[in-house]
Amino acid sequence: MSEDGAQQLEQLLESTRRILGHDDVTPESSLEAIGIDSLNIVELMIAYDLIYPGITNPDEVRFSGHTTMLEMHTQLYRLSNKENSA
Amino acid sequence: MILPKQDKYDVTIIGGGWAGQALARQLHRRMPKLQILVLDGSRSFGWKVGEATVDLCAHYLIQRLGLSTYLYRNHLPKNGLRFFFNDEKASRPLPEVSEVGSTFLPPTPTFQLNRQRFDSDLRQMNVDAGIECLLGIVCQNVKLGENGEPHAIYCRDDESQDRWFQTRWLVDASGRRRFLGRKLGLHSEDNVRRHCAVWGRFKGTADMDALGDDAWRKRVSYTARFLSTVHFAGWGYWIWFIPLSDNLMSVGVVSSKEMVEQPPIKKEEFLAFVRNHCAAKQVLGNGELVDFMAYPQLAYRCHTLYSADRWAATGFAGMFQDPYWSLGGDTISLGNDYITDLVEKDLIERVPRQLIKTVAAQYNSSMQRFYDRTKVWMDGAYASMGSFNLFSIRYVYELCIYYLDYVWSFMCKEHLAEKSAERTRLADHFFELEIMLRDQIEEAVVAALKNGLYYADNASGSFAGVANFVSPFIFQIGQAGLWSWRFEMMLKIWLFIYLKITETKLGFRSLAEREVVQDILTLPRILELHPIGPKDQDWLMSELSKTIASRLEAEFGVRPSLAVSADHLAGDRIVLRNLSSKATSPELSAKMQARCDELWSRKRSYDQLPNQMQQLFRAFRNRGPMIGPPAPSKTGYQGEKLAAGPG
Repeated sequence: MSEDGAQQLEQLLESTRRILGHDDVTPESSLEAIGIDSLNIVELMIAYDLIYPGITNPDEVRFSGHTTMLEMHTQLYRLSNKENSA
Repeated sequence: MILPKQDKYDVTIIGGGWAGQALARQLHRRMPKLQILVLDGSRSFGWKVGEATVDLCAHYLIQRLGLSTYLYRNHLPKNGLRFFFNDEKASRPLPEVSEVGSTFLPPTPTFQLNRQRFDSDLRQMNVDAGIECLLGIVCQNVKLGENGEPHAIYCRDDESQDRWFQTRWLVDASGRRRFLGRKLGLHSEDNVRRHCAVWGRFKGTADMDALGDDAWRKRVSYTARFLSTVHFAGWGYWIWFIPLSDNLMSVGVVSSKEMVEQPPIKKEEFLAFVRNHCAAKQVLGNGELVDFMAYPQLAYRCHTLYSADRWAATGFAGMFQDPYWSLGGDTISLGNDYITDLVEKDLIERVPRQLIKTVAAQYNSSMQRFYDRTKVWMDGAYASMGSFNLFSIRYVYELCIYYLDYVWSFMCKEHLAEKSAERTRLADHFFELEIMLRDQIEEAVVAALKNGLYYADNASGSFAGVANFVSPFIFQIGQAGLWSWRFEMMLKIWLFIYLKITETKLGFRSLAEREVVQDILTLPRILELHPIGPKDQDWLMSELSKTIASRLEAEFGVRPSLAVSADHLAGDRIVLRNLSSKATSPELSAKMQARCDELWSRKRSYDQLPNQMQQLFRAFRNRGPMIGPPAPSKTGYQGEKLAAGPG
């Protein structure tokens, strides 16, 4: 993982902890397990928007309850860099 | 100047009205060792304006100031807001006119304050608690200290002796005198509502609850109407009746100077205006005027309320919006919370000045947003003030948002917490939605005046209760950790009310509740088409036709020919045509028609709508951030005086 990629993953984990109000968020945590639901997902989406700038189409971000934080990061990072390098 | 006496305080409050006395009490309760001084220029307690309170203020009085027992013993409980409408000449008597209000005493307490008692009692409590409260001391000048040096205040007492005091924090609570504001140029009247008000206290007014028959009393479950802040609403004005302890009734007239041709401003004009209104005159009865006051221009803004240079303004000395919704008390409550927090951070926790600056900036910004958002409400309210149909649905919206957003947030102390970027973004989007709703209301007023719905139900004895709208959430109010859920509810009620306003604009009565309409007029669609109006009616009818036809086809295998018309929109039934030409049996036709009837009549209340937050985020994402404060209300109504007020 590149250096700025590692930094963004850390920011992702940090803001997720802040929004959910608990510390139990690791790269291996699944969205379901840490308590993401249809209400707090929007605050998280806005936070991710700020960490991974330039993703023009939020519908491209695909996840389910089983998606892990690391998988989320990989997707967001790829989409963000794809836009920026295009 | 020879100065005989010099004293040093931690906080000096200029002005001994309720804003200043409440702040002193709050500071003392929170930081008992603080040296506090309250200075008031007068020695007596006259009749101050600002009697009704709403829930945020009442929470402040009870929770921050510990005044629950005192309030119930000395002041009247308030039974919410209550509105009565009337025909264009205000000629109908009270039991005949349409009404908006509660049918039970609201679960969250509020009070009608007898200001003569309240202000002097607060002062006495402060004196008893050992806070120095000096009367008859007029502040003449202040020298603000630099680089953390104390401020110096120069005063004259009522024996013409000069006195001066040193203080670390200076708070202006001097009311409309605006002591600091004038010195520092803090105030402006840019982009404010242009309203005036006249009012007075009466002794011996009629018993409102006895003015109608038993059926009329039963309509509000026999709860006392007189305890409400009663509004007799008309075109661009309203007349308030606020009951006070000591058998008094406060009566006032608030007028939009842009909408009312001759707004009352003198005593004779005031009395004539109220007596010219049939229902208000009944309630006034043989009341005798005890005192009288008038303000020719009510609203003004303040660009800086809190400063890291250790000064602040609260109450009228800060900013003022309007008497409607009785937000003056809320403004004091929020402001005093902010000031107390800044003083505590500065003098007790001793946080660095840079952090005080940041926090003060956040609080300033919050109060500006509070002013801007409530101004948008005022625009919509005064535009629709004379119409039962439009006003009642708009008022319900305000009530729900007031509880879900302002009151709940205050109870959870969210206003004192650091604001997250995510919630700020969502709040900004919601503000944009509120501006859109205001614009839609203003257009609906113009349309309703033409299509007749504006005055249609004003004197039909109709009643709009609020219970069904608040019941989904009212008993959880104040619970922490529910921000997202509350925001969803706010979006849903916004959506529902936008649709209700739209239906009136189009000239219909029950479209907004219909599930099939809600499925077409979704939030993203509304954002796309706003302001929805006659230009969209053909499209709406075509979409309804397609939607119903598709659903029937999916279920029965036959696609009916269906063209929703304006008559259908106004009615309860969409008749399917030409079914026999599709070679369907009579039984099948009957089933399809029955199903069509069922689809059309299926209704959903706002809390049953699907979740909206994701739609909102996605829809706004491409619009970019909101730039600058909202534009002033578009329609000035100077030319739209199709119906004048009474007289």
